Amino acid sequence: MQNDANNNEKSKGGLQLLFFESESGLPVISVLLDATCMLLTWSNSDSRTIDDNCACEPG
Amino acid sequence: MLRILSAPVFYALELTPACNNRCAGCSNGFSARERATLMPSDVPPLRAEGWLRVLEQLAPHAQRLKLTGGEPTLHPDFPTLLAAIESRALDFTLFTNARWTDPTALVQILRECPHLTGLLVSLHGATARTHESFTGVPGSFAETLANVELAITQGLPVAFSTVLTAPNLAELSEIVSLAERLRVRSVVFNRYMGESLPGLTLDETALAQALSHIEALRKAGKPVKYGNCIPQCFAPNSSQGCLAGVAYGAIDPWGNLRPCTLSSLRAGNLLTQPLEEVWHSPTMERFRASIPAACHHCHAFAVCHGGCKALALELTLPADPLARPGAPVELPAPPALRLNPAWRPTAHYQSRPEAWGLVLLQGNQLLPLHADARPLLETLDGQKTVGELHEAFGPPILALMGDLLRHHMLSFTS
Repeated sequence: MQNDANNNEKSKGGLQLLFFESESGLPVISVLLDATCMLLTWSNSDSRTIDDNCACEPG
Repeated sequence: MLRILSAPVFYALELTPACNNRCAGCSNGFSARERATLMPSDVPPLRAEGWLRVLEQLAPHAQRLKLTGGEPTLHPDFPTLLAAIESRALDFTLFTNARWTDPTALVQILRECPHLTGLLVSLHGATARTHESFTGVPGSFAETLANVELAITQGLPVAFSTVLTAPNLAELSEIVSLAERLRVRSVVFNRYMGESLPGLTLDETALAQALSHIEALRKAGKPVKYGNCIPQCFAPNSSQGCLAGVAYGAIDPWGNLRPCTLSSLRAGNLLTQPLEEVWHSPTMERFRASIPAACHHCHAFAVCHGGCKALALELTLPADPLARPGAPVELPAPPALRLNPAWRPTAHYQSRPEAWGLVLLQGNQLLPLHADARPLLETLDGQKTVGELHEAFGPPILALMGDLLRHHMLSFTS
């Protein structure tokens, strides 16, 4: 079973908001169901943390 | 469209203006200059009593604090402030140059802080010569590294924060290698933001070269990140826009709320005004309104947020100097997330209602959602499988799980 919850479907779901929402479309993720895949391929290294948000030199 | 929280949840607390480094590219430079012009020089920075009053205002909203300065450990009441933060169960990060008056005592105090999430330590080169060309203090490289080793030995998580400069351009890989050798968890690279400094500031060609190098390190699996935003229209990169004025604010050593540590705008004082009033003040509105109009139409707006608004305002430019408003932008294809239908998902978050919906908070992550996501959220309780949820709710539940995973708010049992 494999279903692609792409941008259009996501918009139909109407769940997500963004703080900065572009008027020309949103960058989104693809979410798939895949019975053969036992590991998430999503990389946590893509996440952002506030620890390093504007972590400019303190002086 | 710009949505903001009804009060900030992430805060940088500039505990003290004092610092034992003399960095040419201090991020508080604009603020210090403004202060020297506008504030009487005899107004003392807040002591513990003043900061406790500030904390009383922040605590109901704060999800994560970043203690900074100056050098925050130089605050004369630093242990008292740590105790106050701990007593309110507020998670915090310490942004420090790791040049401490009594390293052993400080590390011991920090070890006793369960809400300390880690240290972010300024390091600006892989050699003493390069680092100290930025800090202006002979011996600071060895001292910083010795204390980083001490902290790590004692179990404290450490990340490096590095400002990209002309002197360290050739040392980026070496800085990452040094971090790996010391068991530092990641290196956070920051573009320099300030007035142009001869011999320090990277020109745009060199900065693009640095970004390319950092992206290559990321692709090679090295623990590198960006600490501030680089517009996608300048060069493709994996940085993201900051949330200053949206979910994040800085409190200066006198209790003034500013949009971020870089900005010199003072929106109001938390000793005399309610937080919400200051957050929605004309000054903050001016900051939010400074996003270039063209950025609102760009599909990268959700990624880079129109670049650094603070820098544009400080330099009296119409936009972040790296931004090319209206220029075509190519974003990489969205990553794919694969879920096994047999898994049972459980969501972990704190919920905060907002006029436009709700925001989920977990650690240093936040996720804004429509209110109609709430019934779906309640199904993510570890009882049903992904397949069953998909059968019942269709693609929206997959999208929601994707968003939650991306923000570290979802776990699975098999």
